[in-house]
Amino acid sequence: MVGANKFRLGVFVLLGVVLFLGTVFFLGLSDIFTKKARLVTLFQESVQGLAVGSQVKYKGVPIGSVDKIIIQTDDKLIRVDMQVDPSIFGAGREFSAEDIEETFYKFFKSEREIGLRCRLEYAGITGLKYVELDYFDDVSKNPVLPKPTIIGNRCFYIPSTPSAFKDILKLINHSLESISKIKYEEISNATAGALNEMKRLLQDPKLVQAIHTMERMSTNLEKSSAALNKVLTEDKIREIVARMEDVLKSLDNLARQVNKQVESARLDETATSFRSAAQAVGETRQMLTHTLTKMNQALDSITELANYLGEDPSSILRGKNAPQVKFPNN
Amino acid sequence: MKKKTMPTLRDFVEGIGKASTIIRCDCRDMIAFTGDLTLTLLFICRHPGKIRWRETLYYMDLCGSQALPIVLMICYLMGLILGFQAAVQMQKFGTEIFVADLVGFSILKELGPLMVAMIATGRAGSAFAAEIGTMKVNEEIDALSTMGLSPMRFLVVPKMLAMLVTMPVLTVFGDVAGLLGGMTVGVTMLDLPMVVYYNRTIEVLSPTVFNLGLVKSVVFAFLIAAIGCMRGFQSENDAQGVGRATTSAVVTSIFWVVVADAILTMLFSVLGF
Amino acid sequence: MSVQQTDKKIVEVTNLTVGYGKNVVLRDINFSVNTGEIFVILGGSGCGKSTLLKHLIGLYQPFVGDVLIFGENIVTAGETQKSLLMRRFGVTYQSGALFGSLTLAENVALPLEEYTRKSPAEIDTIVREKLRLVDLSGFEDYLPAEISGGMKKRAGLARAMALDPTLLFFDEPSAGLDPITSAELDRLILRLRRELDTTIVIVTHELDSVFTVSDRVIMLDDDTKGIIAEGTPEALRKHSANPWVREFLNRSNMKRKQA
Repeated sequence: MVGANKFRLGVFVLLGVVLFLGTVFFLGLSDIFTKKARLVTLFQESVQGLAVGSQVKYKGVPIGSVDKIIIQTDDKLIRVDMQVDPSIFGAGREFSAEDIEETFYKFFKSEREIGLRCRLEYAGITGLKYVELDYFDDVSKNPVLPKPTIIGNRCFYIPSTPSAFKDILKLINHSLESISKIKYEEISNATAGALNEMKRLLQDPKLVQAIHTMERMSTNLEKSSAALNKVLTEDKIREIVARMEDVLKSLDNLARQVNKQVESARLDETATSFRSAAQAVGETRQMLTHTLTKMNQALDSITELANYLGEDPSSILRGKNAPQVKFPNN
Repeated sequence: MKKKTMPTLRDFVEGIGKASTIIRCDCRDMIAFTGDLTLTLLFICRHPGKIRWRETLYYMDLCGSQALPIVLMICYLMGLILGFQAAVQMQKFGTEIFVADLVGFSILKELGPLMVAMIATGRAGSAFAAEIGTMKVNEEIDALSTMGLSPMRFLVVPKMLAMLVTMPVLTVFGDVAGLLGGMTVGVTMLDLPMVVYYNRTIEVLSPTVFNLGLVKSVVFAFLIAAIGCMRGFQSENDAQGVGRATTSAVVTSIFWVVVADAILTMLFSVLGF
Repeated sequence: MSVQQTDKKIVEVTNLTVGYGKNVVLRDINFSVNTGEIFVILGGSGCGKSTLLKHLIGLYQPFVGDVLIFGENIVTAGETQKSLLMRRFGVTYQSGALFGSLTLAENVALPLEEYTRKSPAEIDTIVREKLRLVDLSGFEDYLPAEISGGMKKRAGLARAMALDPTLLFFDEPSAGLDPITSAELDRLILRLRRELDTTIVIVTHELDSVFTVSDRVIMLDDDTKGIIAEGTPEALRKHSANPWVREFLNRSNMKRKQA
């Protein structure tokens, strides 16, 4: 005989229904029964990372969620509507629903006067953002966007302020773009030219000749001094002194001869031009080294940043060495 | 001696043709069955007095309350496993709290309804096929027909109604058990305070997610009951035939449940849920 | 009480060809059953007796041909019409085909609950009456699995008679029963006809039953896929033109003599 254990079945179904209602209620149906207040703000910047359902916080306390995101076509501003639970702003007293709402709007009106602003903040490493309501330092520097003309019933306008965190991607893109603007081609071309010039200069036959001549001259000088040594004995000192004049004369001759030879090789001029050329090359090289060092440094720091982010991505938000979040064990 | 011929292209093409004929017949039967079932269900809607309540309650008990312990256990373990696997990965990034997101969404959107459907396929779908198959062998189906009673209304409707009611209820239980499994991992392995895990779960999940899972389970219930009964009716008139019908019911059910899951998931995302 | 034998045809089969898939089992069958008679469809195993029966009662669709029951064509009838027609006759199956999940009383009560507006008390009275008729008083609350094969058949008969049909089909009533139980069932069939004036169509291969109950028989043959003999069993046994028919029917006689 087909018979159901009706008691068990009844318990099963009832428990299931209770569990269903409980789950639905806890997962947010309770929101339906609480009265919502609405806030509106306008953003000039990109709201990348903000979505319907994103959190709205007041000084870090979650008070509601983003309800609607609209692009205003007339002024290209982005309007963000938020749903906020006014009962959170309770002032520690028990209120009736109307009182709570009144207190809420009064509170926001006064706070807006003293600089309450909306700002986009990163909610985590994923790039998602939330709307933070707080009193920011740079409020006076940024112009307040005018209140939108059409604003819903019981909506309250709170101006926004640009987020402190510029888009990290934009930053990186910008630096990479500047690096790419350096004209590597020109620099290397100039360097190559200078080196060629130097090479040509060194291979100049006149210079080679001059060096040869100078070599020969110094050999001669050596020979002369050797001869001098030989002559310079004690008993011949007198004779030397006597013949000094002759020697000096011949030296003079020699010098004159050398002078003449040097002059004919135009050593002076060649050396000067060589020196200036070398100096120019040196300068170029130094500049190149300098640039490359700078670049190296720039690349190093980018690598370092990338590495650091790889190890601890959330530091973008927290900054370096932020203390780790520890929940109390109890 | 006859030469053994290699399979030619011709054989291959013929094979495809035969297979497609079988598939076509199968599809046609399915569509015919669906049509018949729809008519019967419409009839039942117009004449609710014609529902066999006692059988319906019996099947509700069989497929619902009796399946509860295994559903609770499987779904709890599923949540536990998911939570554990997620925890191992998330710990590397210091994002342990996201285990709640992962477990919550996976269980409510997919695994809750799916695991319950798999259990129901194994328990109820096979039982339906075997029962109707045996009745066919026993000529009980013929007897019903010759008494002028519609086997569809007599045998399928109670099972169908029972499944449509009990599957979402089971899924509610399964979902909650799965979430508890995830929480167990969060609290024990990740040292998250229970309230933190609970709050995170409540925060990220919405009633819509939960209800969509239940919608899925209703669709699965329909498929499992319909396919179980259909395979029973298609059973051949011997013991082996009933066995094959049961196997076929389970395999076909699992296939269509997964296909339906894919379609529903796409549909929900297109509709923007 | 004399048996009222009119020539009014209650079942009429014309040009019936039946089979499964592409196999023709029986070809071009023609016969009719008169009101009030006990008509036996006889044949060896596997000649298509049961198949023919299932076509007669409208479960299967024949390849060609018509089956008229109470003058209505069950082959061409629509679903609703067929269902209405089916309620007017009863069928008992080889193994009883009782619903395993219901007690005997519930099995018999099922058609009454579905098709009559009788109160539960009235239904209960009818159910007890039907079960008494088939000698199953006291077994109302038994499940089919708890009773013997012969009892199942009788319970199936009780269920088939629940709506007081004027036409009853029996599929192998004595199959799988011992001779004594089988003989009891035959007596029950005769009693039914006597008391309720029911027309009865029986499919069987049990010759004892044939000689005991039948007014008229047709013999099916699986070689010719058709009817090879028609008439009263005694006449066929003695005067049939077909030697195989004479042999078939005489064998039972021999068996009976031995017994």
